[in-house]
Amino acid sequence: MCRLNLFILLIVVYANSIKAQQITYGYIDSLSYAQYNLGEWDKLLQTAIIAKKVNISFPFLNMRCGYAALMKGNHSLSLKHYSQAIAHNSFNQDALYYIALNNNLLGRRDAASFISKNLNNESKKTLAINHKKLIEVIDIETSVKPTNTEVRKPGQYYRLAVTNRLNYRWKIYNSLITYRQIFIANDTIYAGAGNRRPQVTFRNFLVHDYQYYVKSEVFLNQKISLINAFNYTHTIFDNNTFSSSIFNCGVKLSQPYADYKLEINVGPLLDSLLTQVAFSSTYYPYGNLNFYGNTRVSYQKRTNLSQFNYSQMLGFKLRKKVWLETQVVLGQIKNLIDNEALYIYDALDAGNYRIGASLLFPVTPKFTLLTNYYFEQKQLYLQNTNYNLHSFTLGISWKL
Amino acid sequence: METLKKLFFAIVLIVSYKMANAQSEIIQQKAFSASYIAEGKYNYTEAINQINNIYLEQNYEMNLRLGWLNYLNKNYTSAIKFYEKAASLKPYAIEAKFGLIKPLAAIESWDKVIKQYEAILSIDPQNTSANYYLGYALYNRKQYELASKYFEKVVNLYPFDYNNALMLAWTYFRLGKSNEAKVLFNKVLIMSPNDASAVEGLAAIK
Repeated sequence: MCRLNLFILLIVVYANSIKAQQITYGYIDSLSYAQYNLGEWDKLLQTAIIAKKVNISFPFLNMRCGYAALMKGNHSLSLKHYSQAIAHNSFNQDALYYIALNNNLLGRRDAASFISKNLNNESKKTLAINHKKLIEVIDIETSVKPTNTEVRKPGQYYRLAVTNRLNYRWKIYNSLITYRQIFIANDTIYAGAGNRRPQVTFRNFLVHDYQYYVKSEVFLNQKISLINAFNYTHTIFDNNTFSSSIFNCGVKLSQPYADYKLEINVGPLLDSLLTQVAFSSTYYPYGNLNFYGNTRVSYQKRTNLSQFNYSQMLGFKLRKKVWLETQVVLGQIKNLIDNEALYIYDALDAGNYRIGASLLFPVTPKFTLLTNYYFEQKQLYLQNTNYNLHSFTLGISWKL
Repeated sequence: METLKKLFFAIVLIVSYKMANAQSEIIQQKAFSASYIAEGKYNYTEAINQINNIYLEQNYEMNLRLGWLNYLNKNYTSAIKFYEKAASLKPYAIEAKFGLIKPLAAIESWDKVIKQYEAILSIDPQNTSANYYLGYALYNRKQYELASKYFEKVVNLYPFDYNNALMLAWTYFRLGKSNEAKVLFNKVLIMSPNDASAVEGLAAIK
């Protein structure tokens, strides 16, 4: 009993001594340094939380925690700590290197380029970061879109894109796009005078879109970037031609765990004036690309029409160098403007919904293969008949 | 009679205030004295405690002293806090800003160090230490064009100073101004014969 009392007394005294121990810069510095040297990443990150509670933050601690988070595979948390380090010293080469690396590992190559302004050339080379390059990336994409209706032949889509990097904060993205599809229309002819029996004939006609797309993305600072894009579409529809010009203007706020984008699209589309406002967010709950997502809501207003769309993407790392992205788009898909006006779904037939999935294979650091399949339920123009569209896409991205 | 009473009351108030003030000054002087003694014995914790016992948040001297003692005690984040407080209490004093630079440099917060030097130069543009160290910080960041401005200023003020001349020589060298660099490296050799850095600089130009 006496021993037990002594034991309890010792515990109480020990607990009080810990409580009484003043958490100072020196304490946090030496503790975090020891944890860093021992590779005790979880404990080190806990020390950072304790330090934050008593308002102790200093570059060495930020650097150690940034590395600990990187070792734990949490690139967002690592970004957070290293960003605190460069707030003290914007020329901290190690912090800049790891910020660029973390951004690359989160797929934010433009952010990596921006942050590397003060980075030495050797590190830029290691990270394969460009500050000025006439052609930085070439993208090629093609897809075929068969349907289960006789009156809509398979659509064919081709896209070629080139990225120019003007400087560390500004890039231009150019794209040439063509889409063609053969429609079958029935013409009713009343042959001869007095013959009231209609004669139905079928004929093919071509719908062909030619598009030019250009996008400028400028980083104002580490967190905010401005996006401006323009999409010009020349449409041949049977014997008629139309042209559409969509202007896109957006602002993106990048945070370690998510980015948020607000955009507005305005312009004449075919025969009506269109305005679409969209808000989207890409997020990394675990601070990496093992699991990530994108949510987008958009509201579109055309002459006498309005449309609301919700789209959700969830991405998973299936295995080394293989990612799966699943997507769903809800709401009527008619003249929907997607991906900063790169994709304009201006088909004659409106879509009711769309679900799909993509597989991404970064085969080498320079080449990434993309395959996509989506299913879309569509409705024939001016009819209540639904039909199904299947889209198969193959793409390649070549980083020069 | 009534006037006399009022006058008496006012005199008592003034005397009490003066006495309290004098008392407080004596307490402060004693605490500072004890703090200096403790500092002399490298007992920084005791030196800090002596000031903490009489600490007044709005007192410039106490904040400055606590900034210095916390710096000596290697408690840099606290030192920064006290120096920042002192600097905010006397915005045109450069000593608090120079004091603040020490813990900021200790934790390698170079952006803030540069800001402090810039703040000092906005008050005292000819300050040689601020000009030299700001130039030095910018040189380390390879911002040679900017660094040269500060080094030129100190070299104009102290043309026969070794450090200033040497740093300006190297800055000119990095900027590709070989002729100017050569002249300065040769001057450095007058101030410090056979100086290894100046000899290295001249060899690099050739």
